[in-house]
Amino acid sequence: MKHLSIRTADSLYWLGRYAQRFETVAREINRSFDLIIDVDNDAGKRLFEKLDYDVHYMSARDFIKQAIQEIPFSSLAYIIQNARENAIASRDTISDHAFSCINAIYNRIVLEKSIQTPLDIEEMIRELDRFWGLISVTLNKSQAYRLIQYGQAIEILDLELRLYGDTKLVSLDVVRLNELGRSIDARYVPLVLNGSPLLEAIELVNTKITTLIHYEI
Amino acid sequence: MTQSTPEFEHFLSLYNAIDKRKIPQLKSFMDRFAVNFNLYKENTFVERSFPFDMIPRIIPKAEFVQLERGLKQRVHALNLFLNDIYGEQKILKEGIIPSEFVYSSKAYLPQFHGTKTAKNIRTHISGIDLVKNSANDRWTILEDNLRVPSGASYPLSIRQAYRKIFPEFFEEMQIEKIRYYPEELAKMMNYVSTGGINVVLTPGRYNSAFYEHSFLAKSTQSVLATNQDLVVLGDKLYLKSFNGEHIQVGAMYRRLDDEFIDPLEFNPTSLIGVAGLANVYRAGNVALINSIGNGIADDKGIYYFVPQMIRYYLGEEPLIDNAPTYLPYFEADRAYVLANMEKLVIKDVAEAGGYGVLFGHKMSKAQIEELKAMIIKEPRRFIAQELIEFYDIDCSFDAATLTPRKSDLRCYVVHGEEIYVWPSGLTRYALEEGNYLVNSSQGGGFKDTWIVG
Repeated sequence: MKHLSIRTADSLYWLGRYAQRFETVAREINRSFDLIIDVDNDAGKRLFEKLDYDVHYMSARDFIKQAIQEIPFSSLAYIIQNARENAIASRDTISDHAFSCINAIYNRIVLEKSIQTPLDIEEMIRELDRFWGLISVTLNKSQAYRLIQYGQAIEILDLELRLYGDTKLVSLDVVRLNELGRSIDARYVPLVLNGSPLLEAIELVNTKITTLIHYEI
Repeated sequence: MTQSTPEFEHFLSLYNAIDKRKIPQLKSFMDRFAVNFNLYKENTFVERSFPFDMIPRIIPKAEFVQLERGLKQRVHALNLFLNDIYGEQKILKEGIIPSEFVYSSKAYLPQFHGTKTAKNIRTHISGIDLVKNSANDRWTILEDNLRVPSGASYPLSIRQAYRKIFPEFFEEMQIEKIRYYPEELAKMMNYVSTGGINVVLTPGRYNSAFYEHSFLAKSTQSVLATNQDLVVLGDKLYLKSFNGEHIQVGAMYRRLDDEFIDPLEFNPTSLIGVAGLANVYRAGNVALINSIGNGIADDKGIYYFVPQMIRYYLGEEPLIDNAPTYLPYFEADRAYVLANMEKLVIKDVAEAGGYGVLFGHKMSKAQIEELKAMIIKEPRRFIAQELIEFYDIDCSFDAATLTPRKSDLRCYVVHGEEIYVWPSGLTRYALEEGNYLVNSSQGGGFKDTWIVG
């Protein structure tokens, strides 16, 4: 078994988070695009309000352009850039092909700027599906895989809390997260959200990794 | 002038028949997998895939067997020289090399005198740069790289793609397999390990060769670590594991120069070194690959003496030539150099990566006069070499034609229990016509190197 440094463990965790964030935001952008066309012109505004950004657009096409390239801290370009940085930092641990999926999405969105339509975004989601499949096969049952999964689970919880605003809706996800935490370290102290106010719950979720990775030793 | 061999003609006959539309797949592979050699341009970090040309350098196996013998001989002698210099210094005492030549070099580190290394090996990984002289058809060594030679991962990576896209070459030609290099590295690391895990120490993600660092860590089953992942406790080196454990390190393939490796011992402003590492090394509790202080053996001035070293330590004649070299440090050589500047290549011994290399025939009279004054003032700082006319190599910048370019070959030699010469190498070529500088850091590209027998 290969030992994982603090830096690599942290990168794997954030790789899981950003990859999952990309998937969720990409799907939500496509859903909003469809609504903006002829059902609900404000769907895109509401999506990014939940992610703390006030977006203004003239049309569905204008919305998707901003969502892919321009919105600070939440555009697909920003998210994949961060996923890629963490994939680079941990590329000695993940498979070359898994890395190449993240890098290919980055190349298309950031370098080539060739992702412009919902169909293009769906293609990127399929590339991400390949990434999830490859890490599952190549890292199966390893600590590295569990750390990526843990990051993914944290991201799902975080986004669900932000997008849907209800701690009760995430109880099953908390159970899964805690199972993952215990599989990484038997000393893991489970996350408990029981009725916590929303902002407090989000903070609890986002700081939980510090109990699993020993950043200061 | 390019060199044609039956093996290369065989390649060309196959090359002419391949589906040229598949050639861009090689570049796609480089881009998709980010096989990068990054550059800093005007202090800005630029990510870029390493320019690759698909026409390989082809060396007939019989010719490579001769090279292999000569490289083993050279690395063996260089290792003995380093053990001697940091030990008894017999070669200085017997006047084979002038003492002041060693003592005046910044690369000689007297504070490590008497430090023993695991299994008496210091030149674990050597990158020996050669060209093939078109005047006498012989390989000539241009320089030895015994500190942190880089580049082996690029041919290893592209070979995987090449075999998938154009298997016909590998079916039709008897090309030596190169995939065993990481295995040999890992074997060597395990052999010299003082007990514990193996790590590859990288300066980090913004180093030009970070791709290589992660590639080599992965392929040797080592942990890729930055200085922040490591800690010295007592006189031992440990990896800080994410779960709070400290895991002892027995062998470290370090990818940073001596100057930066330990801020307590060397440059105190280094932010990428491991504080206290030099003392762990002194105590014999970690094998450093390559050893600290190796720079004295690949000093451009010491290069001149390598043939003498081979004769002195091994009692043999060198099997591979040095380039004809003059040391302005010696009066007779200085007189010759000053009188023949226009036809020589002058090198500043303190520089590397193609920097500090001056071609006399390209300099103005004023520049030559200025350089002469510097040579007179600091003769130990320079060497001069005859300009070797070496063979060009064919490049396929477009699918229809072959274009000649200057190129060299870096051969990799791994010194573990035995000395292993990798049956390949990094062939670097200049992107511009007539340019003699092929270094990756100067924007040169690379080719695969096929040993065909």
